[in-house]
Amino acid sequence: MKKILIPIDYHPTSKRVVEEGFKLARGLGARVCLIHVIQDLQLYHMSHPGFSAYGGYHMIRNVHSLAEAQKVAEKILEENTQDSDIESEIYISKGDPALAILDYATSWGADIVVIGTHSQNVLEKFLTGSVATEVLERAKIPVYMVPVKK
Amino acid sequence: MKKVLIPLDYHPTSKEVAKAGVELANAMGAKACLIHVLEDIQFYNMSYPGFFGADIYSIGQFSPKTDEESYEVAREFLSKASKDLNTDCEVFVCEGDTASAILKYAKEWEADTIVLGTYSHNVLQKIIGTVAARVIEKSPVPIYMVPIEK
Repeated sequence: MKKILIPIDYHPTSKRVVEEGFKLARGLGARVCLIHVIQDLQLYHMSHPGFSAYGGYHMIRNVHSLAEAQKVAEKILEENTQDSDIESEIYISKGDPALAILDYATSWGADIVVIGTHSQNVLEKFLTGSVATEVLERAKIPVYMVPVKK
Repeated sequence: MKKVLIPLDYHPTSKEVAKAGVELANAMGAKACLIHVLEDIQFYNMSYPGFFGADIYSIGQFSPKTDEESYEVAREFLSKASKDLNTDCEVFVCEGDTASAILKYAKEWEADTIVLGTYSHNVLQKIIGTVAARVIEKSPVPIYMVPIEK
């Protein structure tokens, strides 16, 4: 059985990418894994030490916690697996998104990775570098690129 | 998903791209179509009038049949490729700007996906041809990118 890896983020365009990924999976009778990579957790927390009369600032926003990522992924999975017998699972990872996706593609034994292309201008993407570009550049398996129009 | 469009040129890596595309189509019970675009047919026969006493410069013999012959050669190439791949692909030959012609036929034929190759020059870098890049940019349907190892 073929295995399709679909990375998701919180971008609204993920929806279309996931839909197309599931369409492909249905066609192939493949199983699906949704992967979400949590990046730079520290950026979601801010903390400044106090000085003089300033008591300091400490904010912890757990918006991007593991548990929430899991919840979001489960919801997406639920929406897309209704009325279908596609085998699916979720994997939450941490680190650099492209590398984490590629690592898991290898260890899970994925046959295809599905990614969205947000940009209209591919050349621009190649210059600036993005998760999609990096995945495409390094992947040893086919990459199913889903156009996501803005 | 029912229709997989596979553009082919005479580059040897085309074979691997076509193989992966046909495999995808077969796995889904989808139809595959091999397409080849003839670019700038007029250059196959060049002829300039003489000037300053120089002779007429001419390559080949202009013949209204040239177009038909080019089509025939390309069609034969695609049919052989189809046979070689042990599959019953449709074949389609047209002329014009390669990327535009591919996209135009993808729309006309109602392709669900277009298969393209990425060529790796080394482990860390892959090069996407200009034709492929332009197809990716403009395509309304997902692109199945096949990594080609040298």
